[in-house]
Amino acid sequence: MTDAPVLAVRGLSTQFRIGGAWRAATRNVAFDLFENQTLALVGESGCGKSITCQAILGLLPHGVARVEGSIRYRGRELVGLAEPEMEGIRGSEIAMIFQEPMTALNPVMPVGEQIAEAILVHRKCARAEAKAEAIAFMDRVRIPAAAQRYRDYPHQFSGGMRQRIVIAMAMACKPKVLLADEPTTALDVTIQAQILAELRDLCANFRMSMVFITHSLGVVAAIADAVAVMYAGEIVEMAPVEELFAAPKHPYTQALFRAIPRVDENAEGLQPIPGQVPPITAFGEGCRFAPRCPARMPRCTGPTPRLAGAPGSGHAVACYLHHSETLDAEAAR
Amino acid sequence: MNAPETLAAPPRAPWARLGLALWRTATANAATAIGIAAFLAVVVLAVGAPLFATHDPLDQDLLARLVPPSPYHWLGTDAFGRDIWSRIVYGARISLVIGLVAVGIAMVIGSGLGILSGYMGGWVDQAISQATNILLAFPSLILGLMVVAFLGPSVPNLIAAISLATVPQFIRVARAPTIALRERDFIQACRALGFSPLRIMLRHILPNIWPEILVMGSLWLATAIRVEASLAFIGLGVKPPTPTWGGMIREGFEQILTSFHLAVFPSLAILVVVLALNMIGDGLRDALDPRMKESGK
Repeated sequence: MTDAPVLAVRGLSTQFRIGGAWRAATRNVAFDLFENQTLALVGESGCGKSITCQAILGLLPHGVARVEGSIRYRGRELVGLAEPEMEGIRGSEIAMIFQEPMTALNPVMPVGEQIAEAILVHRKCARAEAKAEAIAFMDRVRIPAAAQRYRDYPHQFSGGMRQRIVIAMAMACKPKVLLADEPTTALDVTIQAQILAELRDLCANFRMSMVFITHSLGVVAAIADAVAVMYAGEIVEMAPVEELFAAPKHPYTQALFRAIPRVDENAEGLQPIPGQVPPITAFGEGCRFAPRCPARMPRCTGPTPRLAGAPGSGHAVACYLHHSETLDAEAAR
Repeated sequence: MNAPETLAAPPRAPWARLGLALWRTATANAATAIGIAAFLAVVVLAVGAPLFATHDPLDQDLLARLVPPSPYHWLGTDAFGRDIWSRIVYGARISLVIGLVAVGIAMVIGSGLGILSGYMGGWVDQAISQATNILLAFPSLILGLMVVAFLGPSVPNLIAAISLATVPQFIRVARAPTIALRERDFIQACRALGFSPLRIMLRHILPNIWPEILVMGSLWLATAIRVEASLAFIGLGVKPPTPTWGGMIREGFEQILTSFHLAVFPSLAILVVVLALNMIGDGLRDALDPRMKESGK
């Protein structure tokens, strides 16, 4: 792809103040998101996926969290942008949908009005116009009898329908980038497939880019163009989706694949990853996966491996197992 | 109450929710029904005072002083021969106007500050909470007393005094649920959609905590009426000869040994209103508090 990325993240570190000290929750996160591309952020709970998204939208609480690095949206720097200007970007340029559709809607406000409000906030238009558009969006995300259900309250909808409404709200101002924070995790499998299809469809129709957070590799295969695997606040491997599934390089990514149950193997083939993601108070130098890594080498506890790959391949990995070749390639240039 | 009823879907908009809650408790709970009826009766009497009063409340009849209750003077007359029933009916206007306006003002300012404090956090919260704690350290009567003693007794000053005394209650009642709501996903979603803090506070937080504020309002209306009467009783209320319940008790107190009806009837009026408001408030609180639902009637 030769166009400039819609969203370019460089050296993004987020730190939280815990017990008086600043602790890094994510370190040196970098990725490019191109128009009409879907990037999946994959990783275990607590690895910094959601925090990265909240940092992009400037939603982390001031005073408790701080963000360093660079987030450029169509060339415009978002880190350090004043709150009122950030409000203009949220929703209209970059929107976000949340994991839990049961709690992501205001319980005492009709759903249609919640969608119309999102339209009214970002566009000067008449109330009736916003209402018509909200109904059109409810229709667009396949809510049956949208016009009649405009004045219904969230508790009158099922989980899948509510997630459709949440999506309609996020889409209401036709954002260029959608941050989807595990939008299907709380739904059952058939509904999950429908919502994924819906999102894929919307992205294609509105030429929208999406950052899709999930911990499920199955969902990744269904929706993503590119994948970034996160572990303990860092991206450890990034690749186009076919490449990653064909040849995962980082031991953590490989371990993730081994942890997926398969119908053609018996249960003994299923290998959980021993140990846990370290708490952010225990992050040190070196590769953070080293303590759980089956291929650990002495140098893994030395300087942190950089995310690097063969030039032009688009497949980058932060692991010394694969670094010799990339470093050789760099040296040859 | 059987199981399916408790499983019914939660009611809808705040007003509908409150109305339904009132109706449900009124039909299920006799005390609430009596409270509502009694309070409405007092409101009707106050609004239609000229219709219900049998005499002019200021008319002195020196030939009929300290008359006990009789068919002509239903509740008797006071030391100046003024009809006590008529004075109570007109006095209800003062009590209700001062109470309602004062609590209304306190409700608007208090819930505004409470939501602001809870939503913004940080130094805003610190400043508002500390000021609230200072005000809460004084009993409402003492606070009202200080303000009226400082500004002088008049209807606007009484309203200001009682508002000031009740504002911290509303700040507290609005702040706590706001802090809980702030962390809820839908408020985060509002922020992610680029809604301004003001919009989030007014359109999304306020409607969610409105019922609690109204319950508090009904309970503090009773206190406001009591404080107004207490201030009148110690001579810091609306100036005589305007009839006020507290003032009537004060005048009746001087005759308590010979003609106790002078003090007893205005006291009963206060008792009825305060009791009625407390019954309404309790009923509402029970109806809106999901934890109380299981205990049944």
